[in-house]
Amino acid sequence: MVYELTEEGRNYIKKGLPEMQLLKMAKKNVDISTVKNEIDNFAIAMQWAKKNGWAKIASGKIEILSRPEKYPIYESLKKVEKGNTDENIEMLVSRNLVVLKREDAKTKAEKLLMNDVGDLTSDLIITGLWKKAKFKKYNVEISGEKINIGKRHILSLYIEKIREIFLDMGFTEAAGPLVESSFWNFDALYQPQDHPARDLADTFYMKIPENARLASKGIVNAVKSVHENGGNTGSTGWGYKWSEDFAKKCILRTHTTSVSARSLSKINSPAKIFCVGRVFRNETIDYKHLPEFTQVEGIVVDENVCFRDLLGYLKEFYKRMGFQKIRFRPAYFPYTEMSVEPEVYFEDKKEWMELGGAGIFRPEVTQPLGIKSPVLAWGLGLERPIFLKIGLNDIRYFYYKNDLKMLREMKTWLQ
Amino acid sequence: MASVIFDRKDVELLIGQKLKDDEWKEKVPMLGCPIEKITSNEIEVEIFPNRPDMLSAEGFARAISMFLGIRKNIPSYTAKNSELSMSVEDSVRYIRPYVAGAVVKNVKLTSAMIASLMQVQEKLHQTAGRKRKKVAIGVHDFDAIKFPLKYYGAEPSSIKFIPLEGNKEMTLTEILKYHKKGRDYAHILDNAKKYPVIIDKQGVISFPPIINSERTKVKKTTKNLFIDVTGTDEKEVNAVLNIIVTSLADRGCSIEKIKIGNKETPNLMKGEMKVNVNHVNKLLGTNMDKNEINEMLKKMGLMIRADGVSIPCYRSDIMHEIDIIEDVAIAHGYMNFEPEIPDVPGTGKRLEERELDNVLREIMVGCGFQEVINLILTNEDDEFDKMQQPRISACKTLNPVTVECTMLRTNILASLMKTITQNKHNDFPQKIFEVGEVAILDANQETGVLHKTQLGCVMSNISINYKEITSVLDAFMKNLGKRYNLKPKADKSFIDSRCAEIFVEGISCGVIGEIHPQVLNNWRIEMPCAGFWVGVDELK
Repeated sequence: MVYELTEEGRNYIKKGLPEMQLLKMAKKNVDISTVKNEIDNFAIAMQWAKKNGWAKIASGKIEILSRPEKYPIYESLKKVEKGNTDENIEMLVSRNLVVLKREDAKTKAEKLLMNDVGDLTSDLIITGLWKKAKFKKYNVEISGEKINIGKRHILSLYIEKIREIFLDMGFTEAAGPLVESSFWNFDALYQPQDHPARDLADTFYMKIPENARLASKGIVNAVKSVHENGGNTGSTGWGYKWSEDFAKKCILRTHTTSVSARSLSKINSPAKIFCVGRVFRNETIDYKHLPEFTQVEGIVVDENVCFRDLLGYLKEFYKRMGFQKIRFRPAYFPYTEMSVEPEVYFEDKKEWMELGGAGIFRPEVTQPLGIKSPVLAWGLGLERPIFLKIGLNDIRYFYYKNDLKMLREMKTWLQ
Repeated sequence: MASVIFDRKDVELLIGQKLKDDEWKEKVPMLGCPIEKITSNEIEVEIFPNRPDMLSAEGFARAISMFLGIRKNIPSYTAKNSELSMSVEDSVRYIRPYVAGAVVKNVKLTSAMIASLMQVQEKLHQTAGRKRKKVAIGVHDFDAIKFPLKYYGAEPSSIKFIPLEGNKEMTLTEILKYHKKGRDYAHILDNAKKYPVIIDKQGVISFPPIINSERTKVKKTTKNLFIDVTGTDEKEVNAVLNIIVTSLADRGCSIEKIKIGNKETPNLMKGEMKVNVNHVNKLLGTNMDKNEINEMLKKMGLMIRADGVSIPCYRSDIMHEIDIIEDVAIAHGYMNFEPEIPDVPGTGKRLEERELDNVLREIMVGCGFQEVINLILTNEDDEFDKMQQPRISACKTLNPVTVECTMLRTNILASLMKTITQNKHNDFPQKIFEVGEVAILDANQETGVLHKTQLGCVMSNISINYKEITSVLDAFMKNLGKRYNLKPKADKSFIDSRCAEIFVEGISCGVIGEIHPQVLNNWRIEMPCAGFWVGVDELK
């Protein structure tokens, strides 16, 4: 390592170190004040003289105790001037008499030019010496080390994409509670109370909180009579005795259609509403089943909408999701009539895949909630199409395993 | 929903024509019954709950045959009168009040027919019958019965008979205790003091909804059948009987009525419902006239008559005009409707409360963190015990099929620790975050639960210190434009004196710290971790 003198160091080469100056001045006992004005930095001089046992201060005077033959620090300082160092270098550095010599940009750049240049440096650029450089040839066909970047979860990216699709189509976003009353999840949707979907085997019922508060008396009574005898909808109803207690039972919502039902009770026609949310099914966990998944829900309320419009929205949605080939198959849900299962065609598997349910809400659903016009509705699964698009075969990768290797490798650009 | 397997040859014989595989796969599902699997011998098909009539091979074939236009005429079913009767005693009123019955004559039982009859009985029990609770069916050898019959509630140990496939007489109590079917279905009679039975002159022929007698068992040589249907819903009891007898009628059998009290069953008369042509066209977006609609209806076994649309006796699903409009749509073919986007006004509006969630995600991604998504369902061990937190009261599920899902999470941090546990084999450093919902009990809410959003993040590496995680929090808060301060906190999930409560503008909104080594041991995590969580609502 190369050191150079500081300005202070250079000064002391000429005049001697402050402690040397002190000893030179103070031939005999002298007043401090006399010495103070004559030498550089009296405090430092006195500090080192004391430390080496050469002098002390007694009753305002400097008393010389001994005089060394040589001053090793001064010798070391002179060595540095000549470009050498010895064991005292750290002391010199700590006294700020020398510093590590900083090579100037030119020197450093010149050194680099002795060989073929690897990394281009700031010194080469600012000195202009890069013009003389011969750059090492790199193999440009290989990549560097793998890095893990921060990124969104694939599901989260798709949820954003879907939100954008519906917002672009002019839909208003809605949300609702995960812990829901049976009333909004089932009864308001005309699902009879003995419907198998309401069995303990399929639906999570809550131990805490056990019961929810019911909706307004008007809505509750209208729903009750539509189940029992069709109310004033022109329907026969299911023809059984409807239980308010059963409707109060808290559950984990099994579909986001509960959000649509709640929305219908609050809005006026026309309206376009969507919701993307978590839903629950009481299932064991395996590669095909998870107790939670995400549903994409939408409703269109308008006096003049018809079945062809429902198919139009579904087709448009899947087109924007990147599915070109779609077909509509008749289906059954207690709350819709017509009921449709849209299916998209997967070229890879050469198969039609069912992706969810849709339909026009039955009058038994809409009229008790105060809606007179037709309501187009759909509740589509989110995981399955993503799953098939990215070629996964275990649904647990989504919420359950969070395998970082897989998440890190998954692409962010959804096509 | 029921998955049913039919004998393909038998069904095609009933349809009156062989169908190619492609026709099965492409055309038949358009009636509303997805084909799950098709081989040269078998068809596996999903039957929706609104069409229990298609659970029988005969009903299935009938519907397809009309839908594909192979069968042009609409079947009409009649039942002859008979002098046979069944009395019903008041004692069944609170147990299983409804009963219906029919006699089926000239039965030539083939093995396909027996298989079909057994299958439809089983499938109807499962679906429309709600596992026999709502409706149960008994099929007997008519010639072994000595009419008249009586349906009544019997004292459980007062009466004995040999149950089907049995060899000794048993009381009703014994059957529920020792017979396989008795044990399977005993719960339906849990609260009954008397049990429903049908007896003839010689004793019990049926103990619904449990089992029939061995005496009236159907054999290969059986020529005539007696069907009993009992249940708690009169409409469904009659509909199920009609489905069975019309299926048998399709095989060439003749149907006879029996008197039950002052009524007669089966009632095979067509029903009727008014349908407005304008309603059809308005809701479907079509322009069909009455004749065109009628052509569509005929494909579904329905037909326009003077006062409305006539509905076959086996279709119990039609409750409203809308159900008939759907049949028109199915007959028209869903794929023959031209999809269109209507002009419904709406400007598009995001949920405001979600917007901040995305800003948080953006910042965390910028800090180099990978987003993860976990289940909201969890259990006390993961949520509290492993984290060294007290078991506070939380939303609990009543009936989870898996022990992993006993409650909803109250804090997001445990979910992230679980993720780290599951990624021991993957590259370090690991920096993960999640923005997700948690559930807090709150009696003021309609459903008793307040759903809140939290952000949590954890970093894990060979070494991690408190300063590193506070740097992340600092960047996070600065990018939100929030002034915050940290105050020492005692929290058992974190190392003592390396944990702080996060305050934003004086409001407590989260906790930051180095995860306690005992917590790491509990999760079997081998690398140090540090992290923080904040309530998103508190940041607003």
